[in-house]
Amino acid sequence: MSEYFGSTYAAADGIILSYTGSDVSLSVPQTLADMPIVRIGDGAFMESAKLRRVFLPDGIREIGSQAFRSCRELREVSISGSDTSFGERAFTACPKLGALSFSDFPVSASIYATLKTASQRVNGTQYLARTFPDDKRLRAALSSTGIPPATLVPDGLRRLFVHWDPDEPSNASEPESANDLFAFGDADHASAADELAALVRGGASIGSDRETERKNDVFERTEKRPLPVKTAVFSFDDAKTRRESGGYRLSVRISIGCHYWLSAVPIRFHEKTYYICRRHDLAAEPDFLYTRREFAVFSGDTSLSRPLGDALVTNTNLVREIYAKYRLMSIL
Amino acid sequence: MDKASLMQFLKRILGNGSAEKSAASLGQLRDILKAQNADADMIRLVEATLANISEAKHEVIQTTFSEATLRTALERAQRRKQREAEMADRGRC
Repeated sequence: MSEYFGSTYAAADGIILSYTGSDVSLSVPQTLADMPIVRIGDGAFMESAKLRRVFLPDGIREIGSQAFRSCRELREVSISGSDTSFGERAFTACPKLGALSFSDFPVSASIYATLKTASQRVNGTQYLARTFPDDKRLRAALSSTGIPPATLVPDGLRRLFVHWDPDEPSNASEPESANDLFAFGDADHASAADELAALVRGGASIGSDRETERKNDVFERTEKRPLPVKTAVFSFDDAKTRRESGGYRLSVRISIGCHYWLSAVPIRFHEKTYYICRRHDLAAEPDFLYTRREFAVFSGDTSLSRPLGDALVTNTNLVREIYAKYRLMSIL
Repeated sequence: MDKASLMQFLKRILGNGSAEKSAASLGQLRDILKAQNADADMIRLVEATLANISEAKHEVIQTTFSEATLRTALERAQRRKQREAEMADRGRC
């Protein structure tokens, strides 16, 4: 049984009960007066107004519920331990939280091989097309940030997932008008599929492709539009992976607060209207560059009664031709 | 954990942050005391504080803060709540 009262921490039995400091960047100590710290107590860092970066040392096995709740400036949390679990809503109401990093994440050789196969390199970062479906820690990390892993749809256009943050209702944004070319997530647009569906349904009033391009470019340059959706991107640094006794230890990063928006361009092809829906990714992190890599083609005669999948053009050759024409139009 | 330490923890927890933050930390403190098989009186004091956080927070900012003054404040808060509940039962609140 041990207790500690310092100028910033109060701890008992290896649990940080309260933090009252005003650090911007904080490395939580491994020990306090020879007492090993194993848990961040419930609400211990709650409402730490200035905190931007937190480094949690190896040895911290649990982050209590609401531990970092309402840390409005918190941007990044690095976790060294390989078996840290997360309490309920540990990072909720942290609107600027951009990334959770796990520097020492053990996986088996077979999982590693699967990750390598499923991953995708974009802008120099290795993204995971699939997450770790059986890993409790990553699931807990996602839950604590308010992003339910159940909504993760791994492949293609839906590789990333979105979640409207109920703690930040003010961030929700309706499209500015019926002719708005951008679809944003809100309570009624809880998944990428829904957003696409809404976009296609509104397709009849979508403006010209020239207008779309102009708006996109404005967005790209100024980033002034509200970004209401929260997206998580799983990535691992292949270069930092090391092999130990038959298993691998990865550096895994969950980037939270990356955003995407969708735009659609109507195009006439063989007397029929198609919509080219493109997804634009943008992250809150400075090292995550703007990317525009994914698109989908939907047929123009979409009926509201039909599911979205029916509108998706699956004929690869047709899609290529439509996209080629669109590219040509963009150039012209 | 002895009484003196407990009072230090209470002072620290109640003296900083919102009632919500204090409630989370007090819940954690209660769990620690239970895990330590601490004196039931100490656990009751934490639980009473948890039930009357705003009064306890008010008490902490007084220079005379001590176990006795905290207990008095909590009892007063408890009596007030009882009175209010009774009034509500009679339809006068």
